[in-house]
Amino acid sequence: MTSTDIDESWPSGRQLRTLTRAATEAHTGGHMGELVSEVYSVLFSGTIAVVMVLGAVQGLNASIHPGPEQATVDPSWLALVVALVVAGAVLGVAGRLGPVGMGGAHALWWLTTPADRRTLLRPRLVLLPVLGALAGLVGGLLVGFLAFGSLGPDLLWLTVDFVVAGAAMILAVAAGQVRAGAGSTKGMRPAVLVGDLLTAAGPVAAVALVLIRPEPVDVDWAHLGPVVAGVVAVLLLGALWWLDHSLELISGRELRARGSVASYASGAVTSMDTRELGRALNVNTTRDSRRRSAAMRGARGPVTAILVGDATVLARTPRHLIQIAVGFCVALLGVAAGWSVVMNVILLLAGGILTAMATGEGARRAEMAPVLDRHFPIAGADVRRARVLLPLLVMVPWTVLVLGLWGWAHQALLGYVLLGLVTGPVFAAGVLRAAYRKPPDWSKPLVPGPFGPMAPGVIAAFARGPDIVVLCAVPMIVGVVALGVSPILLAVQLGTSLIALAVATRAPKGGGKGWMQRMSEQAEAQREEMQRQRGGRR
Amino acid sequence: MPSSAKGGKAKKAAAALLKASSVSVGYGSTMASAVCPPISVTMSAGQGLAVVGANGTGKSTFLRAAAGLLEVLGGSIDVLGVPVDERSRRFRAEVAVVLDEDSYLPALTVREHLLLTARGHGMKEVSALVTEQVEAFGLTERQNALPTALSSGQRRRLLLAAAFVRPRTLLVLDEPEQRLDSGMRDRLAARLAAERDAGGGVIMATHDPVLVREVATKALLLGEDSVRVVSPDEGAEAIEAL
Repeated sequence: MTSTDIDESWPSGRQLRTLTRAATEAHTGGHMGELVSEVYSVLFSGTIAVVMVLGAVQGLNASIHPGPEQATVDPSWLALVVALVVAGAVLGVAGRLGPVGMGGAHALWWLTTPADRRTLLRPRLVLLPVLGALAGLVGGLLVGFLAFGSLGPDLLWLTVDFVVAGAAMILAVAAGQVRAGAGSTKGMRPAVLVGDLLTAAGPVAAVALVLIRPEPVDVDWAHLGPVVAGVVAVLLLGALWWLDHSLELISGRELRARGSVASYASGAVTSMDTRELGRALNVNTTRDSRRRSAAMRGARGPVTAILVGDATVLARTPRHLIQIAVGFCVALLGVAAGWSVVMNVILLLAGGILTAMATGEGARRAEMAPVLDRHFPIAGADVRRARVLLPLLVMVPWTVLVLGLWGWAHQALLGYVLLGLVTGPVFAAGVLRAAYRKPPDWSKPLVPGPFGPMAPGVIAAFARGPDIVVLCAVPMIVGVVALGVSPILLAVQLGTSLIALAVATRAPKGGGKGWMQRMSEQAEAQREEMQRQRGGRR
Repeated sequence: MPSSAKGGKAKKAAAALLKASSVSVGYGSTMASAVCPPISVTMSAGQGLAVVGANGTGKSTFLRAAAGLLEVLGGSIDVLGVPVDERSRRFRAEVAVVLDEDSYLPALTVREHLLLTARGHGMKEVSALVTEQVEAFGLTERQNALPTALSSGQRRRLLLAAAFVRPRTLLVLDEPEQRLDSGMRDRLAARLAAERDAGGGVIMATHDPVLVREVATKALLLGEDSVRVVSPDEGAEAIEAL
């Protein structure tokens, strides 16, 4: 590219973004009330769950009991485990998503114009360090509390270090994209490889620490922290300046390959759709071909064919296998650190949802391409039931193991093992419900939001899946935080687990259709209705 | 109508619009993943090149490479006299590409997509031009619809209209006949022939023998074992024989 490559008559990337935004805003007209009602419904579900737990505890005249008083492993070492996982997750996700990328629609309608890429991509460049800093903030606080136990200069400086390091890591990955220029976009990228290795090292280190139980480590972070922060901040600013002046060098191939894969990543960000995000995280690291194809001998009918297909997808997605291991560690982190039982329950739910999401890839793919579900000669509801089998096969042993270890820590092994057995299906139901949730409806008037107009249903779509987990796991939560495990509690949990499964596997009328097809049919019906009305007036 | 407003029509006419020299294409990273033998072909302004062959012989792959969206495994491709580099703003201004992509900005109507494209290419007073293209592609009744409410054929028309609503020197089309009804196919063939006659270049992968006969001035016949540049009639016959 040379200086002769610039023509003043072409609009800048900024102008192109402004044009698009203006056109989008022309379609607003939805009421803020819709957004408020969505936030309200999500908060309402969470509040209901908390009230139910507290009500049950009070009604049964029980009290919340403390967690195991003794930490299994010194928290300062657990901090190292969490730091590894956080750094790995930030690098891995950034590497997979670009981090500079452009989704399918933007790639098709923006990247094909002569608008300059520097100003076109600048909002993304500004967003990157902010996202990295946010991830660093959360990770830094978690690691800091584990390492130091209370607020103070140590924790403050460790958090600051994580914030600047999170931002710097993301920018470093972006710099790699620019340096690649018009080169190959194929193959595993260093950031993804390093990220996955760090993430996988976390659980491995955790197991090793539990076995070795080393002495606590003592680092004076109040003095070391400012030095680290200063050095990283200088690197961060330098990377930001260099990137801003080099964005023109990123190839469209790179932007499309990393950012889009048909709008997965940007769609996930703009609509807060974790399902799309999961798809995006897989695409860039999926191999184009395999040395040989599996015989699929386990498939002996439609149901086993679906199960074998889903299991094969899971086994061939290393990220999901790592996710299961990380989810397991998250669920046990509180117990190992000797944290309060309420914190343990929160981590159990978070770890369970994280693990369950890894098992739902088959269902998510089928929702995207309904032909996968229509492929077999069984009813739609039966297909849904078949799709829950793999999540069940993973999540039931997972909850048995996690709650079994909890029970071992609480000296109530058998009861907790049984509780795990009946709680597992709730997580499986959650992932299935999330996979088949309705996407936001972009044809309705858009609702003004803090980051621009949003489609109605965005927040509801985000919460669908985890909501059923939180609500239907209430008996387990009550048992863990207050009552202990009893036959009645097990029966109630079994009941709510079955309800969760029934809700999640229910195939709605017109089910099996993808969102594109459903919207086309709705539009067709509206058109016919308008034509009928016009005919009636004549 | 092809535009050369961005400079030097005479200069461009002298240089080949497209020159592929022993180009190997494929989706792997080594020559072993090449989908067809090396391709060598040249086309100039006022010509139409049809890329024909059976499924999987590399038609779309070659077009993606020519559009700068795929790294070549070997050889080189020059477009407008310079090595293909879609990072160049001039390349994007002069080469209109319609591949098998089906993505839309979710909240924008058909008309808004076209207005955005025209303005994104620096055009002023675009309303009449957009109206003209909307009519030409039979989208007048649906111009205020969101793309999600269109049939697949109408979405294809929208993508094609977007290529005609902006200035261009070279049109790169991957199976433009896909999902179009026969009437629209005929009108498209006429428009592409007019584009060629007006001095523009058209390169298209296609399975439609009529399109080859009406638009192409030569055909690139891709096979697993051989690559040949043949006459449009031979190209059309090869399609009919598949």
